[in-house]
Amino acid sequence: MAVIRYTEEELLELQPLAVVPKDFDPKEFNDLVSKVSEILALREEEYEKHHGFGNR
Amino acid sequence: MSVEEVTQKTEQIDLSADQKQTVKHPLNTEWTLWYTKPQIDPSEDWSSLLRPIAKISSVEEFWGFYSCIPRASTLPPKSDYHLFRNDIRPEWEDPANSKGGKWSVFISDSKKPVLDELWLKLMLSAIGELLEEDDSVAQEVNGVVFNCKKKACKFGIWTKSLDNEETLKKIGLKFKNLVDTKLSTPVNEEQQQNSHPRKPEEIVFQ
Ligand SMILES: [Zn+2]
Ligand SMILES: [Zn+2]
Repeated sequence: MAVIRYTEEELLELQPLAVVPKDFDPKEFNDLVSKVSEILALREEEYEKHHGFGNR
Repeated sequence: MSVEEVTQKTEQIDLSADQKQTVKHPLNTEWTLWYTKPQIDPSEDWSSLLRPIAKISSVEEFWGFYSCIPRASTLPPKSDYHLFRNDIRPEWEDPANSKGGKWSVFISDSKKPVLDELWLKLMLSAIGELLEEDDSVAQEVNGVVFNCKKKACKFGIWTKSLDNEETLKKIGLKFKNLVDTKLSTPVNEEQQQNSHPRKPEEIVFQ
């Protein structure tokens, strides 16, 4: 069976025809990533407060 | 009117609005995007951190999910994106990976703007089947990976086998060229043996 290939240029040309895949919930995923980022940032801040060098 | 234009016109006329939603430029195989969530709570084990995000079967669907997911450079540390063929899990334990190997390259944090371009290029090379040019060995590439660490990032290509040296070298060379076009200073190839018995030999750039 022949392999279906696309050059990078062909792939890039099709960008305007973007279709969101079915069963994909972009909001759910983006919310997850933001939530995790937020928690990690808070922890980092908390850690700095306790263990950071000197008082700024 | 060119032949290309006529063909396009015919395509447009033939397709109902509903059919337009369906596959127009099918990919050689389906691909699944996986995300590894950083561990927040010690009770979360690896298998619960790794989750499939979207499955794509056309070029249009690739751009559909790409346009609405966070850029690689904005992911929190210890996150990974994995784009793997069909239902292959991005783990060594998956039978499709267990006899395979991996090309990888580390990029320091300072090259951040380049990360997104590199990751996109790597994904396009995978779905376009551009990493292997010989049809008889196609699908040697199981998946491509972006690992985000705190101080560095790692890009990888996972292969199905370890024994097809010629094919693996070609894939490695394509990978090197791809990385070199995005980085100002070319990376050096260097082989590194991995001591982990369950992990196959790891070939690392730099
Ligand atoms: Zn403390
Ligand atoms: Zn076309």
